[in-house]
Amino acid sequence: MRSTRSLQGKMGEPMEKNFWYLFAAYSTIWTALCVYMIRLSQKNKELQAELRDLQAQIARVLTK
Amino acid sequence: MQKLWSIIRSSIFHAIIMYVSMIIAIYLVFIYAPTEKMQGIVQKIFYFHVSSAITMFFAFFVVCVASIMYLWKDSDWWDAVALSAAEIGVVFCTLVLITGPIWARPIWGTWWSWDPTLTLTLVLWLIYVAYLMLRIEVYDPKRARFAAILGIVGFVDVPLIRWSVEKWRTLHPKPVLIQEGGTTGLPFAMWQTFVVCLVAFLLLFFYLLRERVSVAQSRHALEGLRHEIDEILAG
Repeated sequence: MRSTRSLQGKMGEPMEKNFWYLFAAYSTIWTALCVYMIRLSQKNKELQAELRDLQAQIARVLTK
Repeated sequence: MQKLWSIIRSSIFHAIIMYVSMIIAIYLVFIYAPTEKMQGIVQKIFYFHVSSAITMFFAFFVVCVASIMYLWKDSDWWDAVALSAAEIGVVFCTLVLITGPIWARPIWGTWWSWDPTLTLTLVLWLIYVAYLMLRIEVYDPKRARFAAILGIVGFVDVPLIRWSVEKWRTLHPKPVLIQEGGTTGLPFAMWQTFVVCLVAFLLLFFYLLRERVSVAQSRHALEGLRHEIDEILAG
C-alpha cells in the first residue's frame, strides 16, 4: 500500500528532483570503480617494487 | 601477424577497448535512450544496475568454476583466478546493493525492504566477503581449499536470486529483458542501450580480472622468493 501511494505521489513531480537520485547512483558507480582501479594499480606497483628488491637481495647474497 | 597478436593481448589495448565501450554506453544512457514515462529520469539507473548485477553473477560463476578447477588440479593459477573474480564480484555486488536502494527510494518510497530478492543479494555479498576474509594476506593452502569450497557452495545463492525475482512475491520488478516466450518488455532503443552497457561492464570485468590475477601472481612469486631467501640464509 505504502509503495503504491508513494509511486502515485512521485508521478507528477518535477524531473529535477529525481535527477539527484540518478546523479547519486552514477557518482557512486564511478567513484567506487575508480577507487578500486587506483588501489589495484598501486598494489601492483608496490608488489613489483618489492619483487625487484628481493631479486636484487638474492643476487647480492649469491655473489657473496 | 605476431606483432598484431601481441597488441591485441596487451593490457593497454584491453583498457582502450573498455574505455571506448564505456563512453558509448554513457552516451546511449544519457542521450540516446528515451526517458521512461512512469518512472522518469530515475529509470536510467536500470542500465548500470542490471549490468552490474549480471556481471556480478558472471564473476561468481567464474569463482565457482575456478574453485572446482583448483580443487581438481591443485594449480595456483586457478586459485588466483578464483580469488580475483571473488574480489571483483564483491565490488559489483556492492554497486548493486547501493544503486538498487537509490532507485527504490523515489519509486517504492523506501530505501530498503527485507524482501526475498534483496535479502538473498545481501546474503550473497556476505558469503563472498567471508570468502575474501578467509584469504586476507597470507597464502595458506588449507585456507585456500576451504575458501574454494565456500566459493562453490556460495554460488547456490545465485540461481536462488534469479528464481526469487521470477517466482516469489517480491517488490523487486519482474524480468523485463527476456520474458516468458522469449520476448522483451523493453522498447528497442532501451534494449540496445542495455546490451551496450552489459558488454561494457563485461569488458570492464575481464580487464579488472586480468589486472587482479597479475597482482595475485606477483604476490605468489614474492612469497616464493622470500622462502628462497630464508633457505639461503639458513643453509
